[in-house]
Amino acid sequence: MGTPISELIFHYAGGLEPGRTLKAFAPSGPSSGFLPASMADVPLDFKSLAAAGSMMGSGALIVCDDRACMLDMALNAVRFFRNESCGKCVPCRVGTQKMADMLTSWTKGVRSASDHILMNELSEAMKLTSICGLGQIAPAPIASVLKYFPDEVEAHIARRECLAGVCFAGSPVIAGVA
Amino acid sequence: MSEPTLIELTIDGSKVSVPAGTSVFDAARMNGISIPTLCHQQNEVPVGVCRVCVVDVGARVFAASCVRPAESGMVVTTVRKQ
Repeated sequence: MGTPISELIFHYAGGLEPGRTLKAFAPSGPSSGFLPASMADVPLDFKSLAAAGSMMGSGALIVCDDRACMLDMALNAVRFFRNESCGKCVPCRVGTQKMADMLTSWTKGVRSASDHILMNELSEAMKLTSICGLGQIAPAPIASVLKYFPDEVEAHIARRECLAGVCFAGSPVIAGVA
Repeated sequence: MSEPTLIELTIDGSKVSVPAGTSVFDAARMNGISIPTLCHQQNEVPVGVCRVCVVDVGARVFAASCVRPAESGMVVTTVRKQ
């Protein structure tokens, strides 16, 4: 408790592979959302992470180096939530699938003009009306990516370019993405 | 037989009283406020899964009105401008 996340990554966990730079991290697995490397000095405790707009909880820590595409990471996270959704309530069962569909097309460079409104409304509906925490937290990864890595998302849409070289070229290389 | 206890709550700004144990959904309907729903059918036990009947009860998340019992002093908003 209270250890800076950078110390956890670079000291206790042995750091990144040589030559790689830290890009982002998720202090509590995908449900906490991804924070940029510039925030890596945040201490690992409940209040500090809540103040940083994230949270502490699952005990998992996701670390991304410069080879990770943040849009792809968000898609991966929402696919996970879709797969884990029990299907009892509609907002989670249908919402996670809709969100996965939307993000899949974003990674292919396709985004309709109304998608950002739809994404906001869908996220809000899932957060407010899902029965359990899974549906309530499923919009968090993409919300954090849109907040901290908007340029990377825009590159996919505007220039059909994945800054990390993950999308548009078959399956993602996940080496280095713990 | 004693009279059922009545509890008072506020739905969309109007004070209503209903017998204890009534769901928010029924409390609203008994007072002329209809809440839309898909999965909750009359004479069926409510299951609270379609989430169409959610209402704002001032909590962090919305509550499914068909399964939420009315509480004394509750302030319910069925329509909220987002």
